[in-house]
Amino acid sequence: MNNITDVIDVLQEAAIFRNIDAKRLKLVAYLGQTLEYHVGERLFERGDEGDAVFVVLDGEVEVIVPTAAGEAPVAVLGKYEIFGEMGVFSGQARSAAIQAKTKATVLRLEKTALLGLLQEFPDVALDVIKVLAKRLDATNQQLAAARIS
Amino acid sequence: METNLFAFVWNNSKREQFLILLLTLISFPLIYFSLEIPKIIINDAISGIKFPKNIFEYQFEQIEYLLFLCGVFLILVILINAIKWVMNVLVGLTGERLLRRLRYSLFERAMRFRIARFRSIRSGEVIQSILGEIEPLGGFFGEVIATPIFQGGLLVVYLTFIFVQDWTLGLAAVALYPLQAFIIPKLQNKIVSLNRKRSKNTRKLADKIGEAVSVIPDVHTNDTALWHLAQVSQRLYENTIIRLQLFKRKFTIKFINNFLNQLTPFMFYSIGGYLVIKGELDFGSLVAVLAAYKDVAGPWKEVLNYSQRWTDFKSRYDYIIESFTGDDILPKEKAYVEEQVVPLKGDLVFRKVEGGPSAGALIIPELQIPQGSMVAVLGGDGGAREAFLRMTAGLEEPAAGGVVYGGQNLLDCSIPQIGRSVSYVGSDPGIVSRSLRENLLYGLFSRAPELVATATPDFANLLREARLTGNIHADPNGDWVDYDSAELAGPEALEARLMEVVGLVGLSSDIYTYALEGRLDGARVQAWEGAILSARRRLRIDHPNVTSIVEDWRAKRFNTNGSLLENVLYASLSTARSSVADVLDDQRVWQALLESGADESLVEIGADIAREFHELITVLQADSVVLDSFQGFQRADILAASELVEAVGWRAEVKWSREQRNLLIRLAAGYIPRRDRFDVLSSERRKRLLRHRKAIRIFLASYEDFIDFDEKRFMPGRTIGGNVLHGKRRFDRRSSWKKLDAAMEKVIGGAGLREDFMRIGLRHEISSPSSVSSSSRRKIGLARGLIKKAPLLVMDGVAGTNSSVDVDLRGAVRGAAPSSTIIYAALEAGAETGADMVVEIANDGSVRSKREVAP
Repeated sequence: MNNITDVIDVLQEAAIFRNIDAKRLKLVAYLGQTLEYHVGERLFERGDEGDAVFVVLDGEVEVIVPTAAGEAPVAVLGKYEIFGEMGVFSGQARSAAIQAKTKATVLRLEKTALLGLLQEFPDVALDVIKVLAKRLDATNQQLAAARIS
Repeated sequence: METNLFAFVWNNSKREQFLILLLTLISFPLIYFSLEIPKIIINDAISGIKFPKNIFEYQFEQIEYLLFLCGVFLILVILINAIKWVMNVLVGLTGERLLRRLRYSLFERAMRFRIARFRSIRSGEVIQSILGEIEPLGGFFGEVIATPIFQGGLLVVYLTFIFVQDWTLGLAAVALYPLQAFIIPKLQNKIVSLNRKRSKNTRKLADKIGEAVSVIPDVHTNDTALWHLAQVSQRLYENTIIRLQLFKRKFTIKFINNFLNQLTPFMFYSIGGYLVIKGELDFGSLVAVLAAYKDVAGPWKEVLNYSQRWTDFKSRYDYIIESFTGDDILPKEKAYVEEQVVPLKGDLVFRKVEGGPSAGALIIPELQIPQGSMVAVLGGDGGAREAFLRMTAGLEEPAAGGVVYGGQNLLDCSIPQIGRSVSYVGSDPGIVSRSLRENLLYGLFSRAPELVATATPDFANLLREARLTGNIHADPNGDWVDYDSAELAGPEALEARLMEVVGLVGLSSDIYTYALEGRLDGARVQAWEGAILSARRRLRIDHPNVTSIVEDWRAKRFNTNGSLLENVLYASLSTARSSVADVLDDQRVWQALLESGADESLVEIGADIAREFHELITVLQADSVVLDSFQGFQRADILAASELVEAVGWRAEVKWSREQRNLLIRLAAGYIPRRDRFDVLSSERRKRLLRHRKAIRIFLASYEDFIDFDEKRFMPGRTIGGNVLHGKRRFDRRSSWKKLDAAMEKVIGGAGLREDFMRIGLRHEISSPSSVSSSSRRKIGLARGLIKKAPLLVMDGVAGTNSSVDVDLRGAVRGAAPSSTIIYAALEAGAETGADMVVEIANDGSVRSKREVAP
C-alpha cells in the first residue's frame, strides 16, 4: 500500500469517492497521507479537533467510546470505510476515539485539502452530501428501531 | 520637530549647506572664465594678428598661444566638473541624512501616539507615510539651498556675460522671464492640491493592500480574493485619475516654459544678427552670447523646475507633518525617562469610572483591589470586561473617573513606569520577527545598550551617522535586558528565570521541537559531537521501537523516506543547506551527478514525475489553491513540468534542452518515494541509483566538507534531530513523530545537554507571527509577562477556563509571582475558583466585587 495506484484502488470502493473519476481520485490520493498504525495505537482521541477525514486502506480500526465501566469499543471499521468526516464538516470535536485493532494503513486527508477539493469540484460535494444524508437516514432508522424495541 | 520644510533643512544641515554654498561660489569665477576663453580663442588666437603675445614673461607665437588657451580651457573644464562632482556627492549625502532624520523622527513620533490614536489610523497608512511618501524628498533635501543659489548664480553669471557683451541682447534674454514667473505659480497651486489628494489615496491604497495580506487566511476560507482585488482596483483607478490630472498640468507648465524659452533665440538671431551686420557688435561676441544663451537655458530650466518641486515637496512635507502631530502624542518626557524608574506597587483603585459606549457601558463607582490579590473577572462579554482589563493595564482611557495604581493615576504615568509596573497578556500577544529567546525577553527590553567599538566593524561610521541624523546611538543587537527593574543579578540569573518560566507555561516541548530543527555552530560542534553520537546510540538501546518510526541510512540500502538526491549523494555538506535546490547549487554536486551518470537517471525519473504532475493538474485550474498543497514542490516547478509534458507529449525518447534537464533533475532530486508515492521508482531504477551512490561516494571522498552518512560521524550541516536519528523519519509513521521527539528529548537530557539544547531551541528565528500557533503565541505572551515580574499582571484570554490545564497554569502563575496582583478574565463559570476576589460585570456594565475564599 505504498503507492498512489494502490490507494486509488481502495478509494474507488469508498463511499464518498466512489463516483469520482480516476484523474480526480489520483489527486485525492496524492493530497492525502498514507499512514501506518500498529495494534493499539490511537488515530485520534475523543474531544480532539476534527481536522481530517480517514479512509481505511488496509487492516481494521475500532471506535472507542467512554462508558460507565471505562472505555469500550462499539464498532469496527475495515477496508474501504471512511470515518472522521462529520467532525470536518460540522467543526465539532471528535465524539469518539479511534484505535488500530490490527496493523492498519489509512489515508488521512487534511480538512483544508478536502475543503479545497470540494471547492474545486462542486459535483464531488454533491456526492458527499448524498453519503451524509444516507448516513443520517440510517441513523434515524436505527433510532426509530431502538425506540420501538 | 520643524513644521516648515525650509526650517527643517536649515536647522539640520547648516554646515553641509554652507559647504555646498562655498563650492558654488568657488565655481562661479571658473565658469565665467570658461565662457570668456572661447571668445579670446576666436578673437585673439584664431583671428588675431599681433604675435608673439607676452604672458607671465613668456612669449607665445600664434599656434603656441592657441594651444595655451585651449589648455587653460581644458583645465577649467576639469576643475568645474571636479567641483560639480564633490557638490553632487555632498548634496546626495545631505539629502540621505535628512531623509534618515525625518523617517526616524516620524517613526519616533508614531511610538509616542496614544493607543487611542491607533483606532483611527492604520498601519498601512503609517508605513506609506514614513517610507513611500517621503522618499522623493531625499533627493530634494540636499538641494533646497544649493540649487537656487547654484543655478540662480549660474544664471546671473551667464546673463552678466551676455549684458557685458551687449545690453540689448541681455534684455532680449530676460524679456520673457516675468511672464513665466507670473503664469507658472498659478498653475502650480492646482498641482499642490492634487498632490495632497494623491498622497491621501496612496495611503489608503497601502492600507488596503496591507489589510488583504494580513487577513489572508480569511481571504482563502471565505473566498474573498476578488472582493479585495476590487477594493484595491478602485483605489488604483482613483490614483490613475489623479495622476492623469497631475500629468496634464505638469506638461502644460512644461509646454509654456519650452515655448517661451524657444522665443528668446529668435530675438538673438534677429537683434544680434542686425547688430553684427551694422558693425555694432563683433561676430565673436555674438557667437559667445549664443553659446552663453545655450548654457542659460539649462540653469533657467533648473530654476523653474526647482520652483515646481519646491511647491510640490513643501505641500508633501506639510501633509506628512500634519499626520504626525496632534494632542494625542505623548510628550517626550513621558515616553523616555533617563533615570531608573521605580515600579508602581500598591492597591489598584477604580474611582467613579465610566467606560462609555465603546467600553460596553462599563460603570465602576468604587473598586479597590489590594496588592498581591488574585482576581477573577467574570461577565462583561459585550466588551466591558475587555475594557476593564485594558484600563487596568493603562491601555484604555476611561470616559470619566480614573484608575489609580500604587497611588498614581495610570493616565499620568510615563511609558517606562507602565512598562515596569504592568504585564498585559492578551489572547494574541505581539510577536516580533526575531528569535524565540528575544520574544520571551521582549518585556525587559527597556535598557538601551551603548554602541561599542566591538559591536560592528564600521562602528565609527555608524556612530557618526547616528549622531549626524539625530538617531538613537544604541546597539540594536546588544543586550537590552533591564536587569535592575526585573530584579535580576545578571545574565545567569536571567537564564535561570527564563528556563524556569518556559517550563512553567508549557513551552518546553515547543522549544525542544525547535532545537531538534536547529544546527550547531562551529564552536559547539566539537563540544557536542561526542554527546550527540552517544545519544544516537542510546536512542536505539533505550527506545528500540524507534526503528519502526525511523528508516536508518544504510550504505547498501535505498532509503524510501529520503530524497533521491540524498540517496545518490549519501553525504551531507558540512555547512547547512536547507533545500534540495541549495544543495544543487554546489558545482561539485553537479559534477558528481555527471561523472557517475546519475544525471541521466534523474532526468528519466524527473520526466516520469513531470508526467504524473501533468496528469494531476489537468483537472485543476492554473490558479487553483490546491497547487499549493503539493508538499515539497514549488508551484512554479509543477506548472513548468506540466507545460513541458504538454509540449513534448508522452514520447519516451526526447532530446531535452539544458534548462529542461535542470528542471527534471530538480524534480527528481526532491522526490521522496514514501511521501510522494508516484509509480516512478521501479526496483531496477533503485538498483541503478545505488550504483550511482557508490561512484559518487568515491568522487566526494576527496572533499573534506562532504561528510559521508557514516553512523559513527557527526554531520554539522544537518539538524540536531537529523544527527541524533541518523536516518529519516518514516512518512507513513507521521502520527508517531511526537513519540520520537519525546524519546530524543530523553536521550539528549541523559547526555547532559538539556540546558544547552534548550538554548539552541530558544535561538529559533520566528519569521512571522503566523509561523507560531496561537496556543504557542499565548504561552510566549504569558512567559514574557512572568519573566518581567511586574507587580501587576493582567491576563485576558489566557488561562481563563475551568479546564484542569488552565487551573494548573493559574496555580503556577500564582506561585511564580507571589507578591504580584494577578487579574484574569474568567471565561466560563467555575474559572473563578481559587481567586482571592471576584469582579463580576453585569450585562448593563455595572461592576460588583466579592471576596472569595480560595479552596
